[in-house]
Amino acid sequence: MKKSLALVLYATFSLCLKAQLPVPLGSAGSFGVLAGSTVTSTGATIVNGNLGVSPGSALTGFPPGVVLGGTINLANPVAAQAESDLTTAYTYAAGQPCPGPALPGDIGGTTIMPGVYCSATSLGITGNVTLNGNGNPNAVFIFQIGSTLTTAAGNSAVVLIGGAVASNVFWQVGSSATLGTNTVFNGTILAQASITVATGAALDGRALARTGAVTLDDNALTVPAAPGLPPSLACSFPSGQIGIAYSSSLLATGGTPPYTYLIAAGGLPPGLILNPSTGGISGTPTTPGAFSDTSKVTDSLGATAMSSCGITIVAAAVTLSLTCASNAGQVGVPYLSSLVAAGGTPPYTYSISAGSLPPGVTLNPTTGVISGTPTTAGSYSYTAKVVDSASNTATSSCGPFVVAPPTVSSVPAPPSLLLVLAALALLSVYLNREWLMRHLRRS
Amino acid sequence: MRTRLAVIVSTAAVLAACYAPTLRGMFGQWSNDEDMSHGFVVPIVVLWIVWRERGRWRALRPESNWWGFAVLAAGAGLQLAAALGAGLFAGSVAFLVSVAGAVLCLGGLPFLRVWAFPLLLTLFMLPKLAIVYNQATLPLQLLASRIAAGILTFAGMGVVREGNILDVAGRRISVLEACDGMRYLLSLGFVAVVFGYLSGGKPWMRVALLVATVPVAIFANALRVAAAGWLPWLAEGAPHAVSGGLLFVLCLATLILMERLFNKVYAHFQA
Repeated sequence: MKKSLALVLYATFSLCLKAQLPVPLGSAGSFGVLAGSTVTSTGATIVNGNLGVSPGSALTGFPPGVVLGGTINLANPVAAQAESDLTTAYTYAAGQPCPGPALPGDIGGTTIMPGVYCSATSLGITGNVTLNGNGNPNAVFIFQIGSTLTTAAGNSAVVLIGGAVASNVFWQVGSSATLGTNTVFNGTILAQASITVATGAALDGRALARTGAVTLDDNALTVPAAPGLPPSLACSFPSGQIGIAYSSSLLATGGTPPYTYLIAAGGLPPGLILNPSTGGISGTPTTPGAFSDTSKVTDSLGATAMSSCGITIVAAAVTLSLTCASNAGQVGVPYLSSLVAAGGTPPYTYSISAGSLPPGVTLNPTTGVISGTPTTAGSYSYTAKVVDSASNTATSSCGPFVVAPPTVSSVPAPPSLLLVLAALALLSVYLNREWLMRHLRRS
Repeated sequence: MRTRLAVIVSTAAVLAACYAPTLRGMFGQWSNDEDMSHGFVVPIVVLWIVWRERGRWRALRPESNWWGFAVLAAGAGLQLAAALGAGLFAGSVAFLVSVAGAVLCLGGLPFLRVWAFPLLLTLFMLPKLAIVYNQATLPLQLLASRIAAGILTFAGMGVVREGNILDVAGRRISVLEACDGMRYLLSLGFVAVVFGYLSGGKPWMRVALLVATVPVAIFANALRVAAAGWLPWLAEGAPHAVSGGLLFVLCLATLILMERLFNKVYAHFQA
């Protein structure tokens, strides 16, 4: 607790004096790995940046190790210049005034503010050491270490917060540096002799050894982006297909992570969504078409970058198929339905390949429309066929096409006037039947 | 006496003038709607019944009843509502209410009582009430189709019914709205009530015969549809008119039998 307080007080004091500048790396800044004698790697090491050896020239383990975004320079002028610039940078870092209290032997568990820190002998990191940029993206941390730098195996880490960036952290090591197994390390190591990066350790920075070897073992080393640069955003989306799960991602680089992604204008294809934290675009497209948008990324310092992106969604590929028309008609009633082709390559040509349509009904071979007025009741079966422009064919057994007999409307009863008059007349006869009978007998 | 006759004639003229549009509408419906053409017969029968009952109402002494003006006012209000959009049916009811109000004004309650039956009989000349008619048509249409299908099935014919369509041995017959049985129902209802009156029966007999009309008319109409399905030549022309008339005569015969049955049952309980 006391040592942390002392470091914080010192850093605050140093900040009040003047702003510390980064160590000028010169051409060595483009190297992720630079050694004076040899570079040896075991396993699938990945170096994002240049790799160089000079004046030595031995390189072992590449492949399977790979160098991405850079070149391998063995005892060539580029490597020699880098070594020269490394020497200058080393000298610069070692020469920075170090007015504050000396670092303790192990800075694990401490939080360190920007500034120049000195350790006359060796320095250890067990656990996490936190470098707090205090909200300043240009904050610089320089550690002058008299002999060795060692991180403990396990889960040791250099953690950056408050806008601190790996490109502004420098570890000037008087002899050799060793990063323990699985260490997560940030910053540029400027070692007088050698650097050993143990299995699984990750370095967001540089491993630059003036005279000795750099030994790697299944590591990831990435040259950090230059500080102060805004982020950039790339989008190169593959095409999608309706109904098929889609996955792609916006890719931000530079700036100060973490990033926040959003769609500033336009929109993603329906069915796809953007993960604002990761930039991942996923989902299952539902609508075909070309969709464009303006994607935007904002880094942790508020710097933004935009990019015009586009995703093309194509309709699901379908084979040629044919759907039958309606199979119900009636004599005397106009019939209109259609064969429907799907898939394949339009235009289509329709025909009846077997059987026949009901009398009075015909097929339009171009449109597939079946129309007409059935003239004969009955049941008719037929096979419809469609041919597309690529000569693909599809057939479908249609029917039975049932033509119902004509419908006869029932005829209403005679008008009620006639019914009532007839009924009243009959009632008169019925009610006067005796009188009528008498008259009939008399006559 | 002359003054009284003048008042009666004047009142009739005023009523005819006031309700001229309504009367024109009623005549129009009797002329254009074959379900309602019996409306021409109704006023004739009503006037004949009034004349037939002259012995009863001539013996009465006219007593003006001021309540008649209230009934007239009610009729006028209804007519106003009809003119504002309530329709021909409301106007026709207003006319009949006004006639009853005039009888009450000029002759008093005894005249109204004597003429109650002919006045009620005028209800058969009222136009169709569209709301009721429209609601009843489809169920009656389907009922006629269902019963006709049942009759044909009972007669051993193969029948498939889809709603109001009957497929009888490959012939498809659509039972139209006009074949819903309403025509038989209204005509037979009017004839049944007149028959109940002429046969000398009591008022309950007229009501009983009117109620009996409903199943008889519906069944007869369905029988007519079934006959058309069975014998296609019965569905049009003269055979159709003759068969329709004969079926109506059968209905009438059924009513006569019912009247006799009701009388016997009544006599049995009286004894």
